[in-house]
Amino acid sequence: MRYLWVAAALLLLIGGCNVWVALHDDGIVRGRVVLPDGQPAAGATVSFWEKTLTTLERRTATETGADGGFVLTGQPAHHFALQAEKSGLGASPRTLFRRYFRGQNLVLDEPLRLRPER
Amino acid sequence: MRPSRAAAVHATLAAVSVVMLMPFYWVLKTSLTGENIFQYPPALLPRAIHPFYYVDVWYYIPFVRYLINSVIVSIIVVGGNLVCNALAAYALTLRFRGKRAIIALLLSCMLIPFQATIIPAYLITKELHLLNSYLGLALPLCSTIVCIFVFKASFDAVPRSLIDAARIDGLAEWRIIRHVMLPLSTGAVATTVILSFIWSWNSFLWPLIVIRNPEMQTLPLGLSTFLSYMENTTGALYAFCIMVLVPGIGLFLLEQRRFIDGLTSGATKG
Repeated sequence: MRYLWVAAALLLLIGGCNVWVALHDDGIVRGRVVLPDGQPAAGATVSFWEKTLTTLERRTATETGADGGFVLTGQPAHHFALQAEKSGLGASPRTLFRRYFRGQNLVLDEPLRLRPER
Repeated sequence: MRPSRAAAVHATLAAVSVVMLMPFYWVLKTSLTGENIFQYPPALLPRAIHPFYYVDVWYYIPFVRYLINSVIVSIIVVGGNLVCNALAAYALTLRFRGKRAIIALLLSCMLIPFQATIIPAYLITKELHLLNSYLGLALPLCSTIVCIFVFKASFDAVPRSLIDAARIDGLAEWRIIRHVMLPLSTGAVATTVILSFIWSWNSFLWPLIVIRNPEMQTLPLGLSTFLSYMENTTGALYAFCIMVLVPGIGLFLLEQRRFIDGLTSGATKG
């Protein structure tokens, strides 16, 4: 009987997790890019780098809107880096992010901050 | 036992338990924090816990494939052990000429390490065309002498009159094992299940020799491969260790009472 309960609990847990993942795995990454003074950086290029076992591989890029916001879609990597850059205004450090599962929709807590080129 | 003596015994046992469990705790802590294990002074309590090393293990390598392979091999091994060991043990409870010699032979065979027999085992498996297959992985572990004696001790404790009554009722020998001996030997069954499962689950050398195809690798082999990729990432490596350990620990926790009963059955008379 114990085996039945444990198996049932495990199945329930796994099933629940899979449903949750299926509902939240569009691979969307949302965030903002700001200038060194905190103002929104319109027209900055945000690059998405997937972290593999050995290296970082560039997958895609997008541009920020007038409010400095950007949206990347269909990027499943669970471990990735983002970097924003804008010619004349510098680039942000390439920052690593993690997701709990592949394709998890993610909103960045902190904006990517451009640093002036040296 | 006096209260003060009982307290001293419990304190000693607790201290020993802490010492025994500390390595497991450290592996779990490192898997959740990724701390450098050579850090000095070491931090006893984990800081900044996160599950991302487990996520890395899940996605960077075909963990599910390894898990399925290990489960399939373990099921074959557990099934093989239950059938083969019960049959062998039942035979050893009967009276026949040369029984003592066979028991002595089996006991002496326990002294031979598996590494010493691995070449003949490999050649036999090759002749049977079972290399790189689940059955080939499971075959050498399908009967173990320790479990034969666990079953024998348990079967010896079954009253002879019960077996005689079953024979008089017309039960065949294999049905006596199935319907009389095994139901009365749940401890031995649990012990065999747990021991054979753990041996199969942790088996490394035999799969390393028999398996050629990466898709047929079991979890310990996957762990070894992973180590070669991720030698600088202790957190992910330790997370893999925990993921390999959990099924065996879970099975033990489910069956620990019967496991202890099985190991101690036949240890005392009367």
